Amino acid sequence: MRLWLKFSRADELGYISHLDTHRAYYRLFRRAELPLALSQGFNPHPILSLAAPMPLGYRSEADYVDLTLSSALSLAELATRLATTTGHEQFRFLGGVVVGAKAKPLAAEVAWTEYEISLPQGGAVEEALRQFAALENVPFRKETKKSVKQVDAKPLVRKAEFIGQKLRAVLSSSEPIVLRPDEYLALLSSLVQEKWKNDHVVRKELYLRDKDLVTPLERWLEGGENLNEGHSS
Amino acid sequence: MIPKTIESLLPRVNKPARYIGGEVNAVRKDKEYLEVRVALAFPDIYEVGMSHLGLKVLYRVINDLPYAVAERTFATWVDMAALMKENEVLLYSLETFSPLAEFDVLGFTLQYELSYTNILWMLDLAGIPMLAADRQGQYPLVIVGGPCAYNAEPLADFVDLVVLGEGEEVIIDILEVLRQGKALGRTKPDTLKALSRIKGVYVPSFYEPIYNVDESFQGLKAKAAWLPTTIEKRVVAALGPENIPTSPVLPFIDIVHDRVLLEIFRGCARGCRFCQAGMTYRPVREFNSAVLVDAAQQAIRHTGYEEISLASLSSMDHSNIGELVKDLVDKFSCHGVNISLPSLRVDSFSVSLAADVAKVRKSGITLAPEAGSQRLRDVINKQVTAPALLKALSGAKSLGFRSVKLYFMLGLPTETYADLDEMLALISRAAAILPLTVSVSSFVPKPFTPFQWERQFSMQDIEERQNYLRERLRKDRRVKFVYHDATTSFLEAIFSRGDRRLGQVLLEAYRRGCRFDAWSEHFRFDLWMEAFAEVGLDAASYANRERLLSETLPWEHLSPGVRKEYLWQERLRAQDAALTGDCASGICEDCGVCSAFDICTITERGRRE
Repeated sequence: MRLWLKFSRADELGYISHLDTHRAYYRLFRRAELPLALSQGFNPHPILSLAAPMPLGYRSEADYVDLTLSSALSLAELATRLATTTGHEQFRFLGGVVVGAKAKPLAAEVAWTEYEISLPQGGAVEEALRQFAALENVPFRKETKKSVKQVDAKPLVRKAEFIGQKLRAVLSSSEPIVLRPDEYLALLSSLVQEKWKNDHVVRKELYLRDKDLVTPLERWLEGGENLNEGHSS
Repeated sequence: MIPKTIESLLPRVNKPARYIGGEVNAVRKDKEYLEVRVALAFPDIYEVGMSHLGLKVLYRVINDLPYAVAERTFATWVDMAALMKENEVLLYSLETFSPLAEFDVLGFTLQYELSYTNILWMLDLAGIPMLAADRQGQYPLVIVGGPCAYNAEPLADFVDLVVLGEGEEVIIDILEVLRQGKALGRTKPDTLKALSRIKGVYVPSFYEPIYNVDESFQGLKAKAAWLPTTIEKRVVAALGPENIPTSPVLPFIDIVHDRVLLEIFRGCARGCRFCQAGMTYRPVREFNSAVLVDAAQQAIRHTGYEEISLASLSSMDHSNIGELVKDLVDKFSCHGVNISLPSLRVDSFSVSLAADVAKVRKSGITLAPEAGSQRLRDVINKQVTAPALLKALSGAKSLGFRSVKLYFMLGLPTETYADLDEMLALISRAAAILPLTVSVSSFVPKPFTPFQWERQFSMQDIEERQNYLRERLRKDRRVKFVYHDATTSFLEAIFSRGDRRLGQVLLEAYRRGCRFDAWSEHFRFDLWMEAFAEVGLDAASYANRERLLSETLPWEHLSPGVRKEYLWQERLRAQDAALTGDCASGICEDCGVCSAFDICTITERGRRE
């Protein structure tokens, strides 16, 4: 039985790495005594993966786990077990869906990430957003460990708005070109010749490789059992 | 919630999760309802300290008390420490982010001599005066315990109390006295006086060292007539479920031993003559298998760990080890939990048991013959023979193990180059069976062992012996040869048997920048030597001088229960390469522990009076 599960992480847990987060979820599920399926082979390991890594220090209200169980378990029962397990306050279960066994790995499906970036000191953010929207293309130097290349940032941003000192933006989070929040901020502020100081970055939601912005849970909402936000606690 | 001042530093340091606490099973109590607060301090980084069993045991024992709390603190790595200094953030506890100065007790564990500068550093980072004499009532009492407490004289100027032996009972006695003392508004000197009446507690400031005219150590003089002249260790007479931490704090980051550590017994009766733990943790007291299986089950349920490691000084010596391992494997293998045996005996039974539990990957196995020749193994009373070792290795090979690590010690008393040649011959025969990693450490004489009077060979001599081995092993592709730096072993030898004057050297070395001495990238031997020169003490005379029977040793006012006469007799037997039996075999050699404490060896099959 394969599931996509959504969690919200306690703020301080932004300081643990992707690998450590993976292990923390694994142990959470073990404490909850979920019937975890194990891979076959010499060194069996749980069939569990996280949808997207996150830079250290970011907060996450949208951790997604792609998990395979060895036997059927209702989502209501799963929610109950998680809610009574130590550590559930840190990794709060928000909802889940049963996905088809043939579904692609969630990590391969995620294309967009919505961030909320606090800019307590403000700046000409709205002006920068207007300019960004008005430009035909926005040249941007993308540096990776291996290379530096000139790319157009315009198609890497799906949505952006600035409300109450907080910038909300949906940015490309899949290859070939990932736009990180810090890169996006630097780009925007340079349009208005400013330097902004940001506070917390919160990952608010992940969206899939669909035409419209569809969350992982929404994809599987129709058909099959599901348990969504609001019903979990 | 992490305070803003601390959180703002986290994006700038390596492994920030070391500094955030908030782990599963961490205990947070409302300080308003507490009478005594203890900060358990480990003088190394989080990953090392969190792997330490003693910390987990004390954390449980103290937090089980309704009136007290234990929180944790570790040495911050240099990057974080620099930022904390720069931003005036004081060293804090991970549970409540309280500055350490707020606590009633700051308890350091002494696992290793080269962690001493980190104790000074942690006090300094916490804004607490390093010297005990400079700390009056508003500061926490600084307590030390653990293996190196059997000679804590080099730390005497910095600590308020030294606790000898096993901690879980004595800590409660101490906290009870502190609790009363707070209610009565006792001053620090009165508190120390009250504490000094507890068995196992040594207050260094109540004793004064006396030196001879030639500056050798004469003895320690009690400053008052009512003070005990000998401070005896504490020992838990019988071990039960309450001595097992079944809800250990579960770290987020990968630590050194990231698994359930299940202590299966304390003490070891094999009597290896170099081994301090083997002498000081006597007598053997086993946990009952049924208690262990039940505790393991709870620990797995509370953590979600995938591995249980059977911890003790020599796990194969538990009298019921075969069945215990079988029970654990039966109970846990279907839950995806592995059992591991970290300390194997050099015999075929151990190897086959290790193979049984290594269901997953049989990558490697570690065995410790300790010395290369039969003569030298007899000198140290390590009852291992070459045929037994080779047979164990053949067994390991046929059971599917692919490599072996062998531990040896260099510079053992009476060692000659003939012994090294025999070591090389043994290595060569072993390497014909399986690929080897040969790890060679240097002998460090320890207090309360038969070798406490022995000298350590000079650094130059040790290095020559290391080179001799390295040259001869270099061409052998089957062998990977690793060895410990002679300078670190030299410093260990100085501090393990040092006197109170070394406190000045420690302070001087710290001021010159020594810290994390156990980490090769931070170890600054040159600064240490400058510190010795500055204070005017001869480092080599501490490490390389043989002690005489007529001398008073700087730790003689402390006692683990083993008689000095027994240790001396064992030393004489070592010189004759004569063996001494294991007391578990039934012949009592009268080391003195059982009669001193009116206790006895307890195995699962019964008590041995």
